[in-house]
Amino acid sequence: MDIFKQLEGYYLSPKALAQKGLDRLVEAMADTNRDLQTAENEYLDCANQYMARADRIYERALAAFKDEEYEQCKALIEGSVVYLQMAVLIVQSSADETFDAGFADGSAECLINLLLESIAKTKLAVEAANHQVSSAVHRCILRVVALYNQALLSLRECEDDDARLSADAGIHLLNWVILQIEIENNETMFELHLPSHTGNKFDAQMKEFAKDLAECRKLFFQRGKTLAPRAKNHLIEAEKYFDLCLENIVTGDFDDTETNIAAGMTEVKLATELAARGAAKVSEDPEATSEESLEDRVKSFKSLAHKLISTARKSNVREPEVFEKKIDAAYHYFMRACDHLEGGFLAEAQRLAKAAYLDIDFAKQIALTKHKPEYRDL
Amino acid sequence: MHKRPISKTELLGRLAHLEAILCRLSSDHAETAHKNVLVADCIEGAKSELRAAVKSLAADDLADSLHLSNIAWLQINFGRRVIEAESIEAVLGEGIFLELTKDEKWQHTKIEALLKRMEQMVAELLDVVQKRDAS
Repeated sequence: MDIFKQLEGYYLSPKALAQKGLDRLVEAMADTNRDLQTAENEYLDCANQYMARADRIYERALAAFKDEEYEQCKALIEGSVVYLQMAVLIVQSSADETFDAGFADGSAECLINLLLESIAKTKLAVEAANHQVSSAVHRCILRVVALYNQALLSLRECEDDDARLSADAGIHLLNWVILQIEIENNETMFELHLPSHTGNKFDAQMKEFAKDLAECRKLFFQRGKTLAPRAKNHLIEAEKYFDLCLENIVTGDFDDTETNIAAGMTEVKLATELAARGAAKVSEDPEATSEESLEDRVKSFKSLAHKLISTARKSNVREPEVFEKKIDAAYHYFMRACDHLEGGFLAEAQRLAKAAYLDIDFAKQIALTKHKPEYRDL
Repeated sequence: MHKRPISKTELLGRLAHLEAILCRLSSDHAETAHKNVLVADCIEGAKSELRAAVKSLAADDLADSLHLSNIAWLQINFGRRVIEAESIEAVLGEGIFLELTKDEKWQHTKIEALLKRMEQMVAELLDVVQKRDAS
């Protein structure tokens, strides 16, 4: 910038200064317009949008000038220049050039970037290897994405610590997701890179906890139906503690994280010990030989029916009233079948269970097919 | 947080570069057969953050502009990574995608799984009836 331009503010009146600014802006706009007309690349539409915005701000600057609001006019001219510069720079840019984000190590941005890249890597690995993902694991994946969104939202609000904690919890949950996919598919995927400086001093213990939990799950997969229900209960408890730890991390409650990691790891140990006893020992466990009580079956069935109806309401199932009626009927048949079984009326119990089955099948046709539903033989 | 302070000129270049990368992402997404909802959300989010970043720059608020450009980059990067993963699956795989959003298709899968579990429970109950009958 030449010296005369720098000193303009001292020897020109605000009006003259604003007028000069407007003249220069018009000149720059004409130049930019000419450049854009001759440019040919994929970013031209975007550049033209910036040009149009610059033009709109120029109109506002002109109106301010006419209203003798010279300070506002000057500010608007400067704003318009930024949009003009953007238009010029966009057509000169290239998406092929590497972008240097320049995030500082350990920053919230750095951690969120690690999380999003790890999510995409997991997606790629699952799709490339055609891994099966159970609905429980898929729910975990959706939670990881929700934690990413939560982290981004905190970052937007300039709450960097909260953003860091959400991203950290997301990374730990993703680590657990990967371990579960490995177990369910009996194949290794990749070791997730876990950050070392997240502000969460329990990162290493959480990783250890997830690893132990995965080993225990693996054992459960191998033992199959020969497991004692008690062992399963301990695993369920351990998984609940893992979830609690994630919540503790998100809220930054590290004291509770420590307590819950310890309690969760104890549950894993108990579950592993019981599972490791194997089929022979399991038979000695009185709980293992007893069938799931009829009362429990009815409870589980009822809970499934509730979940199904609430999911169907959210997903625009056709003929929703008929669908709900059929699920409700299936639940009542199932409940009565259990009652009759308990009373020893086996033939009636069988008839009612079959009726429940027919209603479920009818509901299934409504939700999952396009043809007219009908009662089909078993 | 950025490694070092950044000048207005550098920031202008950064925002223009991000716009170019976002343009490419949008056109790549438009060409994909499998329209991923998450990618569409990332594109929309990044557009809005970039718009706000340029507005802050025009108001001479460099720190805010840089902050918003960082958020825009995170969204662009996520969209790009997901699109890359899916293009590999679309070309070399069987087109079975791991969905990252809770869309209608996912609800459909959930309904299917819940109905299947209910059928299993009835089948197990029938097993118990038959076993008791036999004994």
